[in-house]
Amino acid sequence: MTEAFFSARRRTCALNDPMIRSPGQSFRASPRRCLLRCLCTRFPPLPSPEDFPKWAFEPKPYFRFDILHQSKKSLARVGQITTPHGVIDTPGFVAVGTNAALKAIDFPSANNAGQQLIFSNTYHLMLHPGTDTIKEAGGIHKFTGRLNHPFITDSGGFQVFSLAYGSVQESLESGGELKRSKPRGNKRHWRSDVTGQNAVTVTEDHVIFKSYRDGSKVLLTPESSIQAQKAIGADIIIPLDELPPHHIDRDMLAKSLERSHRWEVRSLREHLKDSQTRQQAIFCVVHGGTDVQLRTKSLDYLTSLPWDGYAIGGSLGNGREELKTLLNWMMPLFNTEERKGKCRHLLGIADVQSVQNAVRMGVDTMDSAYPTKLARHGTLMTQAGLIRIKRGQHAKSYGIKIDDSCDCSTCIHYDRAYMCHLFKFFNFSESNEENLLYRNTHFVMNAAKANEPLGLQLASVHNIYFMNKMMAAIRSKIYDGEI
Amino acid sequence: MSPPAAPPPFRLLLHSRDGCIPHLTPRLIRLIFSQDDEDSSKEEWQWYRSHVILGVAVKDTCVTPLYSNKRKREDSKSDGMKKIKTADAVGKVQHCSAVEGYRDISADNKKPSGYTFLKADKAGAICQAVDSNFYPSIKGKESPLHDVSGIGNNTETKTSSYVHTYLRLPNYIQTMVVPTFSFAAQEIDEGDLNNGKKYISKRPQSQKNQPSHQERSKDKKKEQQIPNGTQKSVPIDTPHGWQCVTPEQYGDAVASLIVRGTKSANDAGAVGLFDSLDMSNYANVLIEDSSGNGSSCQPNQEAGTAAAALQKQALKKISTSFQKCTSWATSVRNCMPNSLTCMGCSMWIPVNIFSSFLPRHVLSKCFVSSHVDRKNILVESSNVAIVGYDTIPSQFHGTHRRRLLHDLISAVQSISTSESKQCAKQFLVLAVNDVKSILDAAREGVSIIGTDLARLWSCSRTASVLDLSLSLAKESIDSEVISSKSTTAVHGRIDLSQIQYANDCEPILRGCTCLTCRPRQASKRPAGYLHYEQRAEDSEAKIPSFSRAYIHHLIQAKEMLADTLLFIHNLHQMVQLVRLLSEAALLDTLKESCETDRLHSTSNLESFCQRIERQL
Repeated sequence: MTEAFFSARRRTCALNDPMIRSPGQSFRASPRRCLLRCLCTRFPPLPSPEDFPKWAFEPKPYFRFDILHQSKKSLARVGQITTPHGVIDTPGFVAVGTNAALKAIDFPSANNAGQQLIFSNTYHLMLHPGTDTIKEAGGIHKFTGRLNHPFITDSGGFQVFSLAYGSVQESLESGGELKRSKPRGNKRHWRSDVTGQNAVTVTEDHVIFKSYRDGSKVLLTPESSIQAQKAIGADIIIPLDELPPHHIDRDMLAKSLERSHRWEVRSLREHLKDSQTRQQAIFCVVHGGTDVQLRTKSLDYLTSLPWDGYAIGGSLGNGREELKTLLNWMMPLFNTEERKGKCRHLLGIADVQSVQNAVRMGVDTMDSAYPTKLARHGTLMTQAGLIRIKRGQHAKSYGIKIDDSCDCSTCIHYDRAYMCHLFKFFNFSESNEENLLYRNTHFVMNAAKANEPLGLQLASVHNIYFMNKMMAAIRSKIYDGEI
Repeated sequence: MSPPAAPPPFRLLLHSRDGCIPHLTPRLIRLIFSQDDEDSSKEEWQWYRSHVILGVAVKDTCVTPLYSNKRKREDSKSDGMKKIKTADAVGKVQHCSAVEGYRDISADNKKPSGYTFLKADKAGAICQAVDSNFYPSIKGKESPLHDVSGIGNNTETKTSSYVHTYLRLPNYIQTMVVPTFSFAAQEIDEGDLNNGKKYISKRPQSQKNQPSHQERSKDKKKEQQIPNGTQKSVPIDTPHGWQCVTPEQYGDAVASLIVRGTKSANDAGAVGLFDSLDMSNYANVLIEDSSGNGSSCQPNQEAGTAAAALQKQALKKISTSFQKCTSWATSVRNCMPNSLTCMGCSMWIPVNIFSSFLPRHVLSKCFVSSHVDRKNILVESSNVAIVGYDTIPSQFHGTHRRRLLHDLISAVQSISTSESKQCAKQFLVLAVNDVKSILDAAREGVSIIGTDLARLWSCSRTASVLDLSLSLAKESIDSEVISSKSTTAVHGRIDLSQIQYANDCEPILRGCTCLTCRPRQASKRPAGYLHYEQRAEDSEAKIPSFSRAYIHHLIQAKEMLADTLLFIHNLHQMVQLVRLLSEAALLDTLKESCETDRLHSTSNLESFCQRIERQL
């Protein structure tokens, strides 16, 4: 009986190419099957630091990280990253502009609000407008007209995760269930395939996405991801990695970690081919979930290679507390003599509470779409906590400032009552959400309907300013020895 | 060029829904309307200031929730209103407590029992609250919305009006109060926007299979019929649904918006209340008949009599509405405090465009009899607002519209000159929906032209590419260049959502000086990275701030930045157009005073308009 079972199992393994799997299948496969596959496939050992040219380890003229002040109380430090397109003060907040544009903010306002580094996504930029277009325009800086401020691009590794599982929050809530698309009648619509199980195919060599725009297949290898990022021309690039969900067993995590390492090494090799002429910096992504051993292993290996900085990615725990404990034991590992001099980026987390702890543990930059997303839903960040401006209680707070200590252009000009008024009756994002799908085709109809997004713009300016001001306050606190 | 002391011949009335300039954050307003810090030689901000009037619609800004205390339901009036009123009577100190009282009530029962229009005392209380809470907290901080003298200086802030205090419109832009811009706002897809409509119909079949969203919305539109107004009040479409407004209420609202201490210099006045006049059923008869050869077109007698009956009906409808408007205008004016009229706050009398069909004696009789003290308000006032221009059905968009406008203006002008020896009237068109109407209106001598086109165009993802070269002289060369260049432009606009712009690194319009198109300023590098080799910067001068490719990408990616960028460009084009019209008109007047024989020279204005029309 068991023999028959095993042989059947083996046959399926043999039938399927062992390299090809969809992420959902294998992450929830039984440990035994994983073991089998591990036995089946052998990968060449990862290269050691000696395999890379010597010059790669030397400091680059175009990318510099200076530590201006090291706190004595904690691991926090004040620094400055110098890129070809501008400086970044650390600890700093990185706003997320997925499509090479911040949502609901124009760049002059964002720059004025103190935003230095902006995070864009290779995957989205590959689908639209396409890397060729950006290359023709002369890189993302010239394309967007934001010449004197730096950009960072993600590799598209996050989409391996998000297209299959939804956002991090959704995945945590569903316990690792795959994202299900809504049934659209009997007919199979291409949109039902761009998320969920069929959306992403991960193999050892590459990832195949289905485009969310038209359902066409997009192939992403570590090399092509780097080439795309070369064409986009951001100041900081990130190698392709695989982001496993939080709820997988340790064996799968280990395997995913191995693959991420292999991908990152391939990315690094591709990057080093012409890194000297291109003036881009590359960060590694430290993986390993919340597992101490795997994290340490990943950290030890990746920091030995010639990266320009370290990004902390992978699953960072369920909730703020887990993140805190993770950072508390992991960040001291970065504090050795040879790892100290490079900057550390925390991927995807920058809410107010987490920022405090992350900075204390020595994180330099962190990105999040959280402030702009909050703003678009009518929540303003203040010293006293979040304000939901759409609530009736604000309708009559004439002359009450949004945040007493805030000097942003929104706060100087508009009071809570007026913001409430703008949001309540002229909210674009919520009332017209379903129309967005039709927006391009039926724009004439929507021309009459579309409301002024001024409220969203003002709120976004405020939140971006708030985050940057908070970071500035943290910097001065570190100087003063309070943190 | 310093800003002219006298207002330019033509000005643009920008529809600012909700009392804000659409899409423009304070930072952008500063960049557009104020002197450029980096390049002080630019003069654009000056003509932005002189040529733009912000229209503040009462329907959007002045509807306030009415909270009634549930425990005392028998009280017809809200508690809050009463409190404010008593406070107003007692004095200044209790104002704040009145506002607090307001807050208590609103906390008690969240849902308002109804809506009302802003009253002067409440506006005063709000302004006071803003003054006492807001201004001290931002004192001494940079404020792009107000001139340096406008803020921080206590005497100034206390006297600034509701518009500047609460709505926070920049005090250097002229404002005008209107009840509503148009009753036909739902049917915007007529007029100049049918360019986009064509584009939809050209789309592949996949479009057809989709649920006809547009049709559904059209059905919805039909359901949303404009409710009928009464003799005393007119319904307007507010954010809270249809609200009836009486002329008295409207007068209060206008007063509360404008009045507070001294009159601001940038106050362009208020338009009187008018009602909607739906002439779509009658326009056919009226316009065809008036075109002269109407009788010969009619084949038989029956149709003729039917048409005559219809025409009679139509005329009656027009005259009642005309009567209403004029009588309302008087009552609105009576509602306004004397101080306002003394300060010379100009009142614009609304006259429907179809009034030109009324016989002259009706026109003159109408308003003489309507007025109690036999003072003719239409004659007396020097300002006339022409409403209903955008409700003319689209089949008469050709020459008819201009003729209607011409007839009306000459009729009103002749009446006023015959009844009293007064100077020429100023005219205002409240809402136009295409460029041609702007040109027509300018040629007929309308001095303020209201339009929402900049916003509508940017919502329909098109950008205006009218070639508005500064010099008026070179004509023939230009037209050739344009014809070769604007192969893609339809009606003088390009649709940036089309695929052909995906790799277009050009600015929207070469040579345009708006924030979106103008070349990037020479980059200033922070001192921090001077250690690094200087990158090639000479090429950067040619890069537009935002290329067509980028805007196309933003549209495709559904980013809101696209709307903002397009709006900035389209607004610039509109202001530029109006400014050039003014310039041409000024040149003409100069010519007139200098030369006596101008028979063989066409006027600058006419030739400029023709040049623009060729591009449409």
